[in-house]
Amino acid sequence: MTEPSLLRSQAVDGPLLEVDDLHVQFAGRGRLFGTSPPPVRAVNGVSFSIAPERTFGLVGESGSGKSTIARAILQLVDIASGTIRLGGDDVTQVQRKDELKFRKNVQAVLQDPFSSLNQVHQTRTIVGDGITRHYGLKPGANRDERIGRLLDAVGLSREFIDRYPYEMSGGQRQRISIARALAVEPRLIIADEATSALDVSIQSQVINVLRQIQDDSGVSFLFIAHDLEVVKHVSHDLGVMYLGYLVEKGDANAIYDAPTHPYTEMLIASIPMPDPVVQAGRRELRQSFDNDAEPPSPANLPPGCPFENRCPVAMDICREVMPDPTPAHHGGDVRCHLHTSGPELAGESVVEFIKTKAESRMAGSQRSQDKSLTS
Amino acid sequence: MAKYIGSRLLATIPLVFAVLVITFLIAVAVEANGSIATQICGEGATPECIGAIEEELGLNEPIVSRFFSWFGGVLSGDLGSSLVNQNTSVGELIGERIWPTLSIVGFSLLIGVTLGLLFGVLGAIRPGGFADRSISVGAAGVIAAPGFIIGMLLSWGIAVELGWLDPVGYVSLGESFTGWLKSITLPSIALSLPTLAIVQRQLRSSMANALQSRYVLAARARGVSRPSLISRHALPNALIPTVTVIGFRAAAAIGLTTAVEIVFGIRGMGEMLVTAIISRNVTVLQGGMIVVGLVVAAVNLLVDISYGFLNPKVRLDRD
Repeated sequence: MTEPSLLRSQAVDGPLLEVDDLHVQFAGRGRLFGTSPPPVRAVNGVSFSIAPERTFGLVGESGSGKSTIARAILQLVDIASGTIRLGGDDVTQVQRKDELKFRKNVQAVLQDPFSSLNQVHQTRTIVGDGITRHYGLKPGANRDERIGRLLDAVGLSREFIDRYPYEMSGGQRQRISIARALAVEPRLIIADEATSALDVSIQSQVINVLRQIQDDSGVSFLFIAHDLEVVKHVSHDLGVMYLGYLVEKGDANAIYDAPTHPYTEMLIASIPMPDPVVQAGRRELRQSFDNDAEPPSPANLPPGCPFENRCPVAMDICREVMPDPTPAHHGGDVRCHLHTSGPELAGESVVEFIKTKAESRMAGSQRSQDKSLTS
Repeated sequence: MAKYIGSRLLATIPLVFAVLVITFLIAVAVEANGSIATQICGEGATPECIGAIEEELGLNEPIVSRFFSWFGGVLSGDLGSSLVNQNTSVGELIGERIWPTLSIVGFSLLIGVTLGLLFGVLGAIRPGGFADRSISVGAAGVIAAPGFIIGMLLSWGIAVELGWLDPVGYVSLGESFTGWLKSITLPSIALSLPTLAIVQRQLRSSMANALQSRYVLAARARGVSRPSLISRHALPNALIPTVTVIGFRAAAAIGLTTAVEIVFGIRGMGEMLVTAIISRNVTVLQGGMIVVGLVVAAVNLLVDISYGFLNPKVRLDRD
């Protein structure tokens, strides 16, 4: 379906993208009088890497810093500290003249297919723009042919070349966004909530398009979404964000089957299941989490673990010290004190521990209720 | 696009018809107290004179047949003759007066829209920056001050004190091009300032929004250069609401020209209409209203057509 000459594959030694100890802060809005508020710490010491032809999935709630990481890699926000390397080159040191080279390697598919396409441009311009910019191919039959092949690759008919965004559905627009990213033959595509605005059935179509493209071209993906189920489905590796911290990362399936961080466990427990027995188990688990607690503000992070006030198995140390990453069974690492103090799970699954804790607590509250009845 | 322009043209016809009907009804209203004939015959009008005039002008005929005979006259270009000076035809009078007005309005729009767009883009490039703040303060001041005050200040400063240009009068384009340009420069600047300010405000805000949009973010991520980001990605979107405002301003400028014409002693349409109202010169008033109405309708048509070019959603057909 795709001509291999269009989508290039070329080996890279080592990881394609390496993010090391990334910090991003947004200055508090300055006031006319008085002191300006503390900066918002959007990303705190995040490290991960993506190998060629692999997909790294990033999950987390709104405001957990996922999109900020995407924008930092795309050089659309300034980073506070840390390094971002692409094929070994530090992209934060990219000079203006080399910016175009960098952009040719890293492309983005953004969240909202309705606002991320310019309404006054036809597909020809939306997709062709990058071809002209990066390959110097002027508008004309040759460029149209290339656009046509890209439309083939994303599963749209070639008639779409002279459509405007308003003449397309959400799924079609998102395919155009993907074709636009593919047009410059990048090594890495950052899909920031690329499927979140779409219907579930359309989501799976778009995901299949992404997979097909990876098989054909060997491009790597950074796939960002708030839906763990979707992320797990497309990703080889998985990272879980909470308030700017990467709390757990490792093999996607292994994390899904046996999470080592209580927050990951909470995300999994919130996925509805078609099997009523499994669903009942999940509901019970979900109820063991204190869901009423608000996460702390990223402008005023506590000294300890930011998940502490929502965590069902929080310990005293959690209030005081932010845990460092420790190796976990899924080949990645986890930032949780449960693995080094308290039960000392040493990188193993946290599921059983939370379950026993929850059961004993429920039994405890049952007992105290009985007591108050008899007295 | 041809279909779209055709449909806009057709939609203009009822508008023009409505202008004609309203114009005609004004004459009917004015004449309800017999003032037209009295006006012609003078203060101590004899009943004979009034009767003769009413007969001559056909004022005793039924209203519908009068409308059609008047309407037929208008369509053939006959707007009647001035009630004050029976020897002057309204058509000739307007033909004389329309050029100064069109010159001032046209030139003021050219200045106002060009500079308004330029400053609008400048302000939007760095919202809250020094350029943006300075332009905003200037624009707010200009919006607050009426055109004729600015006109008087310009007339006093540049024409009277500095003596660079003549403070009053109009030189026709036929006489001398530089003379014409000199005579319309100050009135045009005075008339253009509110347009400039309002176009600037509108474009600045819609441009700033466009630059914040995801499609611009996506374009940045693709490596689109900064000038192209502004001119090819943000500006076409930001122009859509701005064109609406330009249309309003064009219509408003035709109204505001009266004060400017009087300040600069230019005998144009605005001055003619005010004089006609004061002297109850109904035929001249009617003629002037028709011409102004037609110009406003033409401006609306132009705005509609430019929508078609700017906004693909508006185009009905595809080519």
